[in-house]
Amino acid sequence: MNQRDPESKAQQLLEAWRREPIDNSALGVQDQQQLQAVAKALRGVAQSRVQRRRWRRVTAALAVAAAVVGVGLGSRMLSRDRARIEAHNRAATAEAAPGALVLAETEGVLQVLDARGQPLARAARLGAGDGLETRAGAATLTFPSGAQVRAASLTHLAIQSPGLERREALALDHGSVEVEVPKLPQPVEFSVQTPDARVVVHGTHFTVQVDPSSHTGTLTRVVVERGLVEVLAGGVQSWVKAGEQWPAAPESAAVERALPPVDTEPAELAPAPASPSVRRSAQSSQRRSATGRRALAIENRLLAAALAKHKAGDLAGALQDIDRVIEQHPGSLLMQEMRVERFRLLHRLGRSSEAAREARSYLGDYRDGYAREEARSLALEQP
Amino acid sequence: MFQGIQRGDERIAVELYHRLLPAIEGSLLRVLGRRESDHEDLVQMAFEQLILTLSRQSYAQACSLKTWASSIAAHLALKSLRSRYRQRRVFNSSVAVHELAELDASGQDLERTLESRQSLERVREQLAQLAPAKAEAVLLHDVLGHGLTEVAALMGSSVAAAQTRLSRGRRELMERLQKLESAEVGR
Repeated sequence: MNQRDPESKAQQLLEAWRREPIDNSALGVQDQQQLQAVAKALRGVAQSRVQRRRWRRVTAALAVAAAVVGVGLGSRMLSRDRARIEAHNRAATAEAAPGALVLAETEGVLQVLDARGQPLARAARLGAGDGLETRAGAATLTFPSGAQVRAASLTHLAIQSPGLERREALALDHGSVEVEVPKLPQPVEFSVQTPDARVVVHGTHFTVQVDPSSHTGTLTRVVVERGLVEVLAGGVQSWVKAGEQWPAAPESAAVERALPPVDTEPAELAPAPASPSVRRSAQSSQRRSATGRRALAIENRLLAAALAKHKAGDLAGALQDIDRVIEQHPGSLLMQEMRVERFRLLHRLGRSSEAAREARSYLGDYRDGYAREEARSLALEQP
Repeated sequence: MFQGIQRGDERIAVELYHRLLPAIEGSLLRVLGRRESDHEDLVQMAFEQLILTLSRQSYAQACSLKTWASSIAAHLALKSLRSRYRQRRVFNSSVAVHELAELDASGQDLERTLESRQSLERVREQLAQLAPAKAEAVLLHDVLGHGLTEVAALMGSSVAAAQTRLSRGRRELMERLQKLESAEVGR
């Protein structure tokens, strides 16, 4: 049966829900008691903020005292074997400071997320499972060993291990990170896990990129600037030296080209069937599904780039990008978003009649679209 | 506004209340279908959560404040739906006597209206039993009409993840409804 059938039926039912008449008569009627409760909540938040600040001051004072004691003890120990103790201290810091990662630098639009995907403040202390999603922004994350990870825009990463058990690790879902790792004492290691490879280092400078639109057969690309990096992918271990990259040479783009047209939905993968013909069909469906995800990721990235230009004030550039995506991906799942962005841009560029035309066309295609009110008012501006 | 919230400025409370009450109430009514006895409590909880997220600066600013408030209300309404069905207090499969009288007086097709209400109640009940992330994606996109990029921003996920949740949510919802229907036919 067609995968989309149950989905379209569900959409019809949900449409009925959306159109269900509700009693608007008392909507927005203000209640003085409720207003007072809101004001009280606001006061409560401000008070707890003041208390937290006081508590932080006390904690900071205690931390300074502990540091003074630590420095005294440390200087005595240093006199014995400086090199050995330094290495030990670094490893011990990695062990003793779980969940102590903070973003060293941030710029532009990004979100810090906890393990459940809920947003956190940029200054939050991050632990295992927490992550970072940059849109039109970038951020630098510093690990206890001193390893610095700079996430470029449109990157999604999660912290796997913030220094527990002498292991610092992050998972890169998509996007690009530039990593600078100081010389690490054994057995401390730093690694980046991507969907199809694991990059392990002991002191180097390198870049890992996960590109869903890659034509090389692998999603991951590693470029080593300094030192030596170990890449584990598909059960094969490779060593990448300074000035080299992995994979070494681009494989044929035939694999990508041979894939069937883009799936409209990222479907769930079926369990492996028994017979070879069914297995082949499942493999092909997995490939289609992967292609669908890739296509969506590409469209997502192009739309995000256009939105970033819009935000930065480059309206003409944003419009050009949107037009290009619409032309190249006519069946995109993000078409409604792009059409909305298009009439907004035209309006902001002062091209009122074109904006009105686009708004009318949007209303024709998405009668109940989420931007229908905005489109209606634009359409009315220019009859 | 953020500074005002951190200072506990009451003028901000008044402004927030005036500006966002219709969005919060609209969202609650749309999800729950009617004004329930705990409506006032839910409105208050939505405002409290809103203030908390604004003070923690976890409001992503990738959407309007109204949309953010409406999504908080939808989240609370979903939780309320879930707890009601868990307690088996199915509250809307029947229609109150005064509503029957109103429907009769309005000349609407009584039987059809009751049927469609019952069918929507089933959808609500089954949606409430989906995994929260999927149910929320379906609610925000298909019931409240937010765009996919907005849903992603509201849920703090990528657009691709929001799309997957939405698509799987719809499919699972339909499977549950079909299962329910065939169980009823078999009885």
